[in-house]
Amino acid sequence: MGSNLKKVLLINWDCYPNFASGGVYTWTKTLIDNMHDYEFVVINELSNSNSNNRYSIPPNVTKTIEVPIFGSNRLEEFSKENKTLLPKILRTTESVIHNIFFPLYREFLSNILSDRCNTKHLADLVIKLHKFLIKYDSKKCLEHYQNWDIFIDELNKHHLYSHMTIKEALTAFQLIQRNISLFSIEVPKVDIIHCSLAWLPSLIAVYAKMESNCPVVITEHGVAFRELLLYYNAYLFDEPSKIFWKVFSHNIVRTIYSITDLITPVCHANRIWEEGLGANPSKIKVIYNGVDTSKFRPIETKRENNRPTVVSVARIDVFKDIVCLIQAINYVRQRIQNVQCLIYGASSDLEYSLRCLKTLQHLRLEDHVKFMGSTKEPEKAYNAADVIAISSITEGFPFTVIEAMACGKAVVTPDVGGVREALEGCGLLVRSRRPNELAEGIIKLLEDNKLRKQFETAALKRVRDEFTLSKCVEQFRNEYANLINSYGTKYPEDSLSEKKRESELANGVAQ
Amino acid sequence: MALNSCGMKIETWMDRITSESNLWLNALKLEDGGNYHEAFFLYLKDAEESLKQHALIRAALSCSCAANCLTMTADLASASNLYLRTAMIYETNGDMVIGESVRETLWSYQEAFEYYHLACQSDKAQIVYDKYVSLARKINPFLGEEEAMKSLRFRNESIKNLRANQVSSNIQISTQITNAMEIFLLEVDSVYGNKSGNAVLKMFTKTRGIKSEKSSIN
Repeated sequence: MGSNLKKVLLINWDCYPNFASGGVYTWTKTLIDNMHDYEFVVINELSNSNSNNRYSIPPNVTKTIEVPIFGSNRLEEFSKENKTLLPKILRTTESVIHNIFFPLYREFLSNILSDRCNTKHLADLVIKLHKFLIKYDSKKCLEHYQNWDIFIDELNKHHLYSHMTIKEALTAFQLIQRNISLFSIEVPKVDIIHCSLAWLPSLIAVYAKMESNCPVVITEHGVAFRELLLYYNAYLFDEPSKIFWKVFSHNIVRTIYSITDLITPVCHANRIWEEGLGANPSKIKVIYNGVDTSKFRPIETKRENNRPTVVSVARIDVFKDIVCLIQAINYVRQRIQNVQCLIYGASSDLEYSLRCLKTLQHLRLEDHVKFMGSTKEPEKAYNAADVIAISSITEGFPFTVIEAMACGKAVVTPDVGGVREALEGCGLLVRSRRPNELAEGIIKLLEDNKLRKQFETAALKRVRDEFTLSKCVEQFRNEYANLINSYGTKYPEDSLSEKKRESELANGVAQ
Repeated sequence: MALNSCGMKIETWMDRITSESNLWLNALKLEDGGNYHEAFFLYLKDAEESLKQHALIRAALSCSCAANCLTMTADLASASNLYLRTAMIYETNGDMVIGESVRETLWSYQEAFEYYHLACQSDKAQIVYDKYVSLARKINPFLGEEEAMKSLRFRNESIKNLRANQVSSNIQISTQITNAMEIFLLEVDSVYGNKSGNAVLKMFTKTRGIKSEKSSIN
């Protein structure tokens, strides 16, 4: 790989290259695969110990930094570089922890737990913690028993949070500890930083930006904050904890937005959220996802039978509301008795998958709904369908919609996120969580051949005009170039002496 | 009274609120009849009983009704004192229920804000204002301070109008009223005088255990 290529630091979470499924993965992979004129260093925060460590990457990915936030090892122990940890550990005395780390840690907590933090101050604290943790041992600091006391002390300053359950307080504590350890990662100098979400892993961009003096781009697919809210509502039951996480997440998101030079949501629906969360509107530019029209196109596909066929390409996940789709097929069956629904997608949540199976059995739909597992040839799945049905409760700008459209298929889907922007005039929109409305849409498209053909033709044209892969990649290429040029010459003194670094650290900590 | 499946008499909520022994109901009847003096004593008695049973909302309601009666008799100084106690009780209730119901806390703070203003305690009203805004914005991250306080400002306006319509008078406070007030204020102070003591963080009394557990691991 030539050294003249500009370098991109791509930060993501449970995604490329370890987790090869979902829209964000598709977006990341297509971006990297189609930008040979850039070199990529990929950071992937891993919160799932079942991640795949055997993957293939193209030559323009020169480095991958996998950052597990589980287990008890130091992040440095996963590093392939030959750096010794011992001096770091020896340097980290009780006195260093008490006199330098604890005050920093307390200030960080105080800020991150405050109602609406000062984002500049929080970003400064991230940088100070990073400077500290590249010199001292993160494990000795973060596993010190007094951290819990400091955390509780800071929590107790908020009357509401003092009513959180011990379980939730512990979860919050662990999450914060784990994510502070991210600040011990040393990242290479790059020309631009691109994050695929505005959430904890992207705090790395705060100090990486400072070190490389380069621009930061964030592409939000599902608006992390919105999805976190859905998660809190689904899985948390006590109000103080829900509010704690809401405020905490808001502070993180605002801080990340504040250091960003460009936010590229995948749809205008996301833009509205981002503006509401405090992002500077002048920094937001919508870049729609694009689809490879040479792969996703109408093709003759051999079908196993002639039954009216509904296809859904979606993970078996609570946000995809597969239960709703199953219930909808139950309604459809009452009108079209030989209907079949094929669901292509991996299971990402065992408990939810079992719930889907139970619903299927309860409604006696075994002959009508089939779980096909994930497929490496989604274009064949789309082409084998009469109608594409989606049942998600939240979406950004879903690939499944534009891929189906590119295959010339009529789509019925809930009107969530940016779906309307993609589908306008080329399919049917229904309300989410309404199986009867979804069923009515499916029936209409299956029975009304004229309408279906009309949608199919319009969809094909719309994708080829608006949502091609080349158009999407070209926009990112232009934005990268503009941003890099606007920063001018960078790399502030690559050979920063150790002495200078130490003095910076001392100053930073003293401030 | 209604009968349960075993034929036993059970007291429904309807029985309770229409019971002749219900102090608040009797006070209300007296107030409706224009007998503010008698109504005041019954309201205050009900507030006192409610405080003893830690029924804060009812205590605050009765206390505010008693204050209203004094306002009607133009005893504004005593009324102001009772409005202050009403606000304190609402604020205490807000602080205490925050772990169970944030919405009740917000409502209690709204009530407290209104009564602090009626008692001309703008400093205390400001403290509740800040607590309300902080909590309201925690619940809704899209809410600005302006929007969060819209409802409170609106209520504040209506209080100003109410005050403007009141006519001051020089009628002597009766000894009975003074005595009743003193007893009630003692009750308020003895039960809820030290608010912070009641609102201790129940969760973190357990933290010592967790700390020692972690220490032993280390």
